[in-house]
Amino acid sequence: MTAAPSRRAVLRALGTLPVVMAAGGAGAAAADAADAAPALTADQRRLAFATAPAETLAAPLTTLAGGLPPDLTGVLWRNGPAEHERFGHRYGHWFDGDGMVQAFTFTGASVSHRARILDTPKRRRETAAGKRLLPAFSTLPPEVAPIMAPDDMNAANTSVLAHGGRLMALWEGGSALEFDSETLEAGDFVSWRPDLAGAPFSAHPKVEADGTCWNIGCVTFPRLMLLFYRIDPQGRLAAFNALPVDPLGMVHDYVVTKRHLVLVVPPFVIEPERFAAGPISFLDAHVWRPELGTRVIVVDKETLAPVRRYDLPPGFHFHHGNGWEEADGTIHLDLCQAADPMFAIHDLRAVMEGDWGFPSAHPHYRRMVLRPGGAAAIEQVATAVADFPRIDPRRTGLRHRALFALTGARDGGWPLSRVGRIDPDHGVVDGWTYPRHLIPEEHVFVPRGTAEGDGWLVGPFLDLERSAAGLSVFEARHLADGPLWQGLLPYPLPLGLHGTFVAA
Amino acid sequence: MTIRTASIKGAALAATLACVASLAFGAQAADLEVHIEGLRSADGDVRIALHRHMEDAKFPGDAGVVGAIMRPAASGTVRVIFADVAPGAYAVAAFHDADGDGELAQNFLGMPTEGYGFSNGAVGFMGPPSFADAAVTVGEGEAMPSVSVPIAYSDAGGHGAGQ
Ligand SMILES: [Fe+2]
Repeated sequence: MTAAPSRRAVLRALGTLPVVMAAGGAGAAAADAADAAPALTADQRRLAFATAPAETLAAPLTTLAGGLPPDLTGVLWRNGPAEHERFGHRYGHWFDGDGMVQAFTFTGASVSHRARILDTPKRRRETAAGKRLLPAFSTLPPEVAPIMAPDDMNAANTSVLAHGGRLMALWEGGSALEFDSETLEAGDFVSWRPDLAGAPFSAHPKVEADGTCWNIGCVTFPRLMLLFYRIDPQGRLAAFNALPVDPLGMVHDYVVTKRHLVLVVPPFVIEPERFAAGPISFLDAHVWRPELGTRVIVVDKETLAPVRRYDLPPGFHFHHGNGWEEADGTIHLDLCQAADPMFAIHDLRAVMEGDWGFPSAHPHYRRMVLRPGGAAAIEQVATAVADFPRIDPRRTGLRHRALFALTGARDGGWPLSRVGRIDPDHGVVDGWTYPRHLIPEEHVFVPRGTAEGDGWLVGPFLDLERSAAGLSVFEARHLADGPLWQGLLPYPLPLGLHGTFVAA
Repeated sequence: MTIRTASIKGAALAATLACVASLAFGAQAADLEVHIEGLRSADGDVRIALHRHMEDAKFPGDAGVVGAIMRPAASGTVRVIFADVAPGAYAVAAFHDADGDGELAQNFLGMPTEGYGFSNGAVGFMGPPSFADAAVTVGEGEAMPSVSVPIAYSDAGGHGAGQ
């Protein structure tokens, strides 16, 4: 920590000194202290899901406090729904709106921000029509145009992949969308092979240390299939396979181990008749069928064919963390699982109306163990709510000791208010709670040195009191010390989803 | 995103048996003129099926096919006539069989990769339209009713239908 800034100054600037002093110890104390702050107003809550203030944005971040590590250089690319209203029509779910790609550029001495709404074919058609026209993840416009191919409604709003010389905005129901690193303008959809044009490509690709990129796709209409992609370090498709799975619903994430891809399929499945019956959103075409249980499919990385299957109790999750396997073939993997999908169906719609009651079951950190003989179990290691998990990317597919996630629950506020480090064996072992008026987004691990966990944790937040977006940098091994640096933008941004750090 | 192809395949089969369907059911039958519009090329054939409503079968299903015509494709519009159509409600389904294999080509996702369309330009949300949306009425002794079938092509991965 050569550039250790004055943490005290950071905290003073944020007006959270007492909070953080408490956070040095245990999470619960920190959360209690933070809750002493005044509750958020409805207008403040709405800011988190308001449309971005302009189609393109650019500004330097002003240092709130602390100092930037001079050796932290590169770009944090981010994506998320950022046009929550168009032509007077407000989307009904966090995941609906058109994507905005963002670049936070770290020079070692300063951070600057650029952002642009991606002008997808979907958005261009709606612009030409002067109205909302196409279905979104969970919301249909009053008069909905038909869909001939998934990319007709591709909002490119979920994550960013930098790989093989390309920058891509990811959705999950259709293709990756290339965009320009300078102008941030949308380019063409990526077709990995001519006959795969328009095929779903998930927003959670995994890039291994050798540069190989893995991904899945989840086809839910008209056929039900899981797709597996292996892309070489130059960005060329090296292997592909498609596996019919029926019934099937959204499979948002998965893990890679040394020899396998592991897909965990929740019993929240598409009812194809609902699509056939008439206009219905993708989310609403799903039904919760807990009797199906959670199905696990283990796919061989060499052949891309399924080699093992497991059945586990029902649950719903979007995200994993990492997976790894022992010499005997036992697979361990992280997941952020809730009892059912109600948080996705209900709570993430309610937030669009400023309702932060979050009555539904929250995702928690859990660990899944899959033994080669067919035995399998899900263990709850930590009691904390957890989502938006990230690992040290150098440990992708290898045994990891640290999972970074948004954790913590607080009544009447944003439930993911704490940045935490989870030890898969011991639960939450480090963390820092954001004050109630600062809403953290996904924090990404940026490696330094060679040892696992040596690095920074970097992530944006939204300051609901100042109506401004900001960014934090943490020393990843000392989260409880509070941020090394925090900076603020002169404008707010709606809460985003995922990103990736590309070192300079 | 997709269209059920069974009926169109059925239509193709029927078309190999009779180039022009003769559907006379009575003295008041009329000829129905169909304009297949928006064909992108003269490659292959156009295959056109005339359907009547089936209470207990999905549209466009084989069961409802009462006539089928195949013609060489032409850029732009191809005009065909279903002769001696009895009065009643009908819907037309057509596709541009550009590769001439008799099938509506699909990619592995199940999305058609050849152009297709329905009478009245009817389109479904994620699949074929309803019979009612595509329906055209042939009246008794009507001179020459006509209907348009605009053909839409999905540029897989691109924008598509409807507009
Ligand atoms: Fe995600």
